[in-house]
Amino acid sequence: MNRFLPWGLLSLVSLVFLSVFVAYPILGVLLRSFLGETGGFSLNGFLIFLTKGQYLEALFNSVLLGVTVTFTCSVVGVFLAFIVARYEIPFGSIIFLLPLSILIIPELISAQSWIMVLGNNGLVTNLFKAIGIPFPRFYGWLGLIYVMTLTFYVHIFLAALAALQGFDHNLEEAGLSLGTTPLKTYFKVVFPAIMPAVLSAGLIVFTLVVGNFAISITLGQRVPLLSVMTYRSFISELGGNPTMQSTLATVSILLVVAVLFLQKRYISKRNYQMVAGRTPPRKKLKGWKSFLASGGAGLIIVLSLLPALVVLIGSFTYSRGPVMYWGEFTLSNYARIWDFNMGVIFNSLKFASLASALGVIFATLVSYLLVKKRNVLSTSLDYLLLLPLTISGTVLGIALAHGFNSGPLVLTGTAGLMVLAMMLRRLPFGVRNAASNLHSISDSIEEASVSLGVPPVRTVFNVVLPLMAPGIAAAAILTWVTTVAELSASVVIYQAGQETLPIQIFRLISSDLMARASAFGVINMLIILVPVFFGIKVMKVKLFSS
Amino acid sequence: MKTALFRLTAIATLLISGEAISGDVNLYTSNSEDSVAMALDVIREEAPDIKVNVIAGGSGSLLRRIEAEKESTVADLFWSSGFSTLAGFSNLFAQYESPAVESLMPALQAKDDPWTGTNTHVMVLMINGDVLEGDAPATWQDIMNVKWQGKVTMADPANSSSAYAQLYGIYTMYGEEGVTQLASIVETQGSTSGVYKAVAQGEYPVGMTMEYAVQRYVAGGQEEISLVYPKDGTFLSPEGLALIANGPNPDDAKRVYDLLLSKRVQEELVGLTLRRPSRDDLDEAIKNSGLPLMGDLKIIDVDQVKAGADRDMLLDLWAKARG
Repeated sequence: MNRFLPWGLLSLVSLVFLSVFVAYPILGVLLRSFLGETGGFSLNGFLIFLTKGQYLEALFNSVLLGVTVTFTCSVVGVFLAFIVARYEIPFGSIIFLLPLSILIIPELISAQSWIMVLGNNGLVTNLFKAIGIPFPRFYGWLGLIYVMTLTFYVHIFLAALAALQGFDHNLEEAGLSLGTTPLKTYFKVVFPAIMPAVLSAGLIVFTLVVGNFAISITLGQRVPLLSVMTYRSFISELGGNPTMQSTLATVSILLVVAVLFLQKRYISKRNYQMVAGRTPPRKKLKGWKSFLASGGAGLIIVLSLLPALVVLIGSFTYSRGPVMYWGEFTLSNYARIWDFNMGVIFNSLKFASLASALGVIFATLVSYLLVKKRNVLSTSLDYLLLLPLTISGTVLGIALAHGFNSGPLVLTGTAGLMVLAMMLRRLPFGVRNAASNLHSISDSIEEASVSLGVPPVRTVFNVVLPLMAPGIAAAAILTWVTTVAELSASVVIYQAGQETLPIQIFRLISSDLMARASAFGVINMLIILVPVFFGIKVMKVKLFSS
Repeated sequence: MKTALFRLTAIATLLISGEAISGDVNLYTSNSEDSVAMALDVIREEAPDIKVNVIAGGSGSLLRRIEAEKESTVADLFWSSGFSTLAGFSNLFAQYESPAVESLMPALQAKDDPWTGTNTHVMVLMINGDVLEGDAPATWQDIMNVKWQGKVTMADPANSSSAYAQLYGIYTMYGEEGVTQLASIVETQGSTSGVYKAVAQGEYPVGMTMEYAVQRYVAGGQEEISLVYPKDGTFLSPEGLALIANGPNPDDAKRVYDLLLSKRVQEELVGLTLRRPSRDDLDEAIKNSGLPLMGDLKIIDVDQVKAGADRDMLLDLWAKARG
């Protein structure tokens, strides 16, 4: 048998797949931004970007928002991780719900439910008005930062928690025994050690914020933002300018690439290896300290989960057109879905299950090739897999729509393109999960099997895959969760009868029909929650092991 | 050879997506969820053999989608967008003389164009009494006063056809000066719906928007919301539907076309969506839904064709005035 087979061939197939569906469309966007209206080379797009309209302001705002939210998320996330890792708090056991909260509550819903609570007509706002205290404007910077922080801090919380749990307590004790105060020890020893983990997660938060579509478009009415402008350039009611779409997309790609580069440089200088650390015992706090710690943590948890509750109540609330009658309950919002919109639910189920299945299979295969069977193609694969990380959903949608609307492979308008977009968005994370999972499986097990005469491919199926199974299950659930909630790419490319739940919610919210949007929101959350619950409770899958 | 290839891809596309089976009419619509559902109910009753697939979205994106699909047209009907927007895409449409046209108001018949008026928007001011200080403005001229600076919002005319209709109306009445003045007063929203949502939520006391959008809140019982039909005159922004050229199912599409213009659909639609119908035999229904009759409004005649032709000039003027 040829040495190239089967692994080299599989690498080649993966490489071709990624080149066609990732590299080619993105390259197309980059190239089109240098095309003039007549088709020749032109820097006109960038000239307009730099000189006209609000483009430059939007870029500045996006960066500022990204930095601010990353900072606030770090504060909230590290604080909560610290409390959970170090202290016993009364409701520590429900903390595990937290990471789920951002997953089960689509961003769009959380933005809109916060408007219902804190917007100018919101429940809390009216309460403040009633007692005569003016409530600050929620739309714009305040709302953006607030909702994005509550939506994205969980990424930093998880990373910081993992790092804190892996932190060797001896180091801290060494600091203390040398006479440093506890607070100073935290700042000099503990925080620097968890910093790389927090920064990696921070980068994810930054890219999520800069590329964010749902929250930006609902709350950023007066703040021009790059992501919203990119979307509008594509969807604009009256013939958008293709050069401008590509220019905006290119700028957002360059922005993320620049940040990735900076982060890589920073991390490469600071690499801490913890020798299987001794985790410190959890302390019990007393008095005001306990109140402060558990109160702070409790507040964060309540605020994270509140949108789900507001949406649940909203879905049963009677409404006439856009006007909601809080306190009057009805089932009509659900009845309407039953009568007219079951197709939307089936679409979501169909696309998400296809995208999840394909995504998990591909991620498992590619990670295996990358970790265990490296060859000449591996480096290229590594880089191609980074590409989806540099683009937001909106840009991915635009890239795919432009890339496949003519030429030998026409996919624009097909369900296949929807599935592809959903799958590609999650792919880098899927591969990363599967790879970290594979690193912990020793090569010797596989070698033992092969040396006993089992062919390599069968060894994979009989030995490696069973060991990877728990990781694959976790990846499958996470992929499912993100694809069911996917909006920003699919809203750009969806077609005839391809509306998914998030698209339907987005459209209803656009028409200000909140009660009906809430009913779809509840169904969306249920569809997300059921597999997660099943996975955790029945199959004992550890979703957030890393 | 090339067409054969296109046909192949088209067939492949259909196989993959499973759409456009014969007997199906693919209706591309920018109308709100509830209007579409209402129309579908009637179609289901009146023409049970037709299955309508709804493709919903913003009118611009839908029209460009139809344009992109020209090699293998999927759409049968487009319902609906402003006349001036439709004019920009007229090569996508096929002329169809619906028998229903005779029952429409003359301004909405559009006999020379490959589309027919379905309804018309009336441009109004939306007022939120909770955040309004002093008297509400009564005319367009009122809101050009500096005292309304930052308190009036409209959609970006470059993105929203209704906002462009408002801008063009102002231009017709008050010329370049009016446009420049307005530009220095208003704050813009990214989309049409952004305006009425912002006013309903109390973001702004006054918004320039369409009649139906405000009437939804009034009919819904949100007491602080009211609307002003400007006394110096207001403008219509008629919307039309069109048959798509080379659509897969033109015969059934024409039946749906007629149904969308039928008395029953228009009657039910005005009650539900508060959009002013194009038929001129629906005064009763209009009154019942709480709208004033057309005869009671001062309407300024706006040339829709000229509005389309002046678009680049006016938007340029607007952009300069906005700085």
